[in-house]
Amino acid sequence: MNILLLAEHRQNRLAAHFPRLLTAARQIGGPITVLVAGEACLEVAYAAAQFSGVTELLLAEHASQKEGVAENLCALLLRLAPEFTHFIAPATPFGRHILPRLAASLQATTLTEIIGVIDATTFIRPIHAGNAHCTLRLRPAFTAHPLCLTVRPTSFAPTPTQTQPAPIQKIDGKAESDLSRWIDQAPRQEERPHLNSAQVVIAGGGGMEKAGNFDLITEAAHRLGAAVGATRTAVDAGLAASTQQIGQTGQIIAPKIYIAAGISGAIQHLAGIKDAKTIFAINNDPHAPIHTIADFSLTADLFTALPEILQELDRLQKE
Amino acid sequence: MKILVPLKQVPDPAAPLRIQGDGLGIDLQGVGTLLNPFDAIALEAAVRLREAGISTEVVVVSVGPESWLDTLRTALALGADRALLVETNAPLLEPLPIANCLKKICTLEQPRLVLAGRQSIDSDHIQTGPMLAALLGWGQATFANHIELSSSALEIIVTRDIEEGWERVALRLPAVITVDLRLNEPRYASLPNILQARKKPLQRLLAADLGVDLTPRWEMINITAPPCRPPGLRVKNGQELAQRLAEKLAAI
Repeated sequence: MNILLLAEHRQNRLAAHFPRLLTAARQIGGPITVLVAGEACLEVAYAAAQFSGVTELLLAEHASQKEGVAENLCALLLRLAPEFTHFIAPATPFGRHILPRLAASLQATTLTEIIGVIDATTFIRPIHAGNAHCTLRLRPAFTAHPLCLTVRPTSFAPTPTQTQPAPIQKIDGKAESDLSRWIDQAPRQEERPHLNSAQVVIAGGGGMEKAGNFDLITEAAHRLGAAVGATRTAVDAGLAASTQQIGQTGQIIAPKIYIAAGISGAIQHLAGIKDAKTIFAINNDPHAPIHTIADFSLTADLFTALPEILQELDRLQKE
Repeated sequence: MKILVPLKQVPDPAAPLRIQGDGLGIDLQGVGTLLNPFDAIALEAAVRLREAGISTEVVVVSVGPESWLDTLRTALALGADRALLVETNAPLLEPLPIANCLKKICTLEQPRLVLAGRQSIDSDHIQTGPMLAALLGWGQATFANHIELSSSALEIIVTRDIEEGWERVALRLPAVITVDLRLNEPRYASLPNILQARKKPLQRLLAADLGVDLTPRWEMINITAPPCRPPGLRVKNGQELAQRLAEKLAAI
């Protein structure tokens, strides 16, 4: 057993989920090599090497790896592949883009969106938007094939740091392909934290259609230092970006506090918030399913209740 | 330009999910089916490209049982020109064998573009599109929310959702693209189109004849309902909710 863990990073910072992803790798067992591929990303390598259980860190710096282009990164991974039995990536847009490409190139055995590790060949993953969990075991006939896995970091506790950082080895990162060319990117226009790393998330749903915009939610998020999420209904209505969507077809989140504002609680949305520690809900329909899953729920009109709640919160926090 | 759209039939997600008594499967008896919503978006994008004169033919393909013919007919009613069913009753079909089958179909059909849904909403693997791209040695763009293509183009420009916003990539054709929610809003099939679809070609072939190994590599140990949350508290007013929220915020 020899694990290669693919580290995600952006703007020269290691993704916050890395210590959680590492926990899943450690539960599988065996030495863990972390690959940091990019351009000028030494700081990312330093950050990843600090965590307990990292045996070695491979730093592959080259302009061709700068934007995480799948064709290039996959070519690099294929060069490293013979040395490893397990390839693990986060179940994020980054990992979901890269790992299946690698897996097919290797005709590897693949399992994605893992939320639990029973042993080195038995895993738990959600199906039907998390409305069921299935436990799958690798059939003995296929143990000789490499395993490619994506892991949902929110399902694992973070690994602590180690006193002696893992050694960093620089390798050739050059892997160019003419299949695809990166053009440009633009960040979302917001200063708030990202959905999947935020401690507090507030999300709006179909109830916001009445207002025609998300301003009320955005203001509340600003006040709470929260990330802004949305339901599929709100995304379909053009009130929020699809990257803000929480649920079956969007992001699965696990914040400390989740506030559902004007959200009825469709099965596919609830699938995305089940891991939230405390759920607050405000909805004017007393029969909305969100009330049954929320820890604290209020039946009220959102447009009057939310400003009231924020005002009261200000008063309480001043005390 | 020929476009290939792989499709999957899925159980209606609005129906409550029932786990089989033996805990080894989902009880789908009496549950309606539909075209996987992401695949419907991919099909819509392909049909719009044909209507714009950029594509000449839209071919839909499924790897699944005979009962999926209904969904392929729906796709024909939604504007596909031709349908293929790669028939198999293999249980627990995994994404890699499906991608291997689709590769064979691409070799036969020679599409310039494959447009696929980002994931199916039942098994939620999120694998098949990029797997197919790898097997064909083509470029890939996943989670597309906008595509720009001209009929003479050698490349396609794709805007894709990423964690921090969006990015644009240019892919050399042929290529594989998986689509996200925001790309378009699929149309409904009109009655005349449903009737007309019956005349469109629908070809069946056997997965076994493609020479692809369909053996599942994973064994299902059990399926369980996710753990339930303890019952919550209904608060009386906004002040009480604010009070509880303040307590939880202070604990972070």
